[in-house]
Amino acid sequence: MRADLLKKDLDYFESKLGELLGKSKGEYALIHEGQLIDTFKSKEDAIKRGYELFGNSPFLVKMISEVEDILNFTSNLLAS
Amino acid sequence: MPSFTTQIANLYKSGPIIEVLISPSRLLVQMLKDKNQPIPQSVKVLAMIDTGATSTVVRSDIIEKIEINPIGVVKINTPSSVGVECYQYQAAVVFPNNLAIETADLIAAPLQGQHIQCLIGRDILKHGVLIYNGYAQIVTFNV
Repeated sequence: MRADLLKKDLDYFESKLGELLGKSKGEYALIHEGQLIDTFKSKEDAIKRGYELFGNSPFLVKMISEVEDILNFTSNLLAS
Repeated sequence: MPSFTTQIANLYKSGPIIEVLISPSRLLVQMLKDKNQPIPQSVKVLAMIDTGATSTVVRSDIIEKIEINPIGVVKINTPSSVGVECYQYQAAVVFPNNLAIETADLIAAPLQGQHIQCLIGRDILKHGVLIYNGYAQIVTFNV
């Protein structure tokens, strides 16, 4: 999946995570086309800015954190 | 308090299955209107309310029909896999009786079988009170 829509943005986020943690830990990064647009206190503000700038195009909003939250599903309906 | 109540035949076997509408978020619609750009469509899906799901999940083909783009990537654990990356989308979920959750972060992932197209997870249930009345075969959700 990483080869798809947000690969460049995810790769950028991971390469800059150390730097981002130093400056904006706990905030949300808005990344588009492999470039950091800005960091935001809330996820909603980051998404709103993403829509303002890029409309209905892919962009990445990611929490700046050492440990990524993993979402859990107990249902076997999920085929992943 | 907005709510819907639905009676589901054979609730024990079928589970709490309801029809919901998945729409682009109000925020996205407003931004696109302001820019005179086309508005993505809404799609009706068959959804199961799933208290074992951290987040709401929609099949990828439904997202393709709505034509919205991802705003993030998350990792998920399922009974058969660990740390699978999935796209995340922002959308509105409209329940029966026009009960709308305007902003939900949906995950696109494959779902087994043909009939269930969406799992309603705890990210939506956190907004209200879910009543599962097994004896009367009734499900109620108040927000």
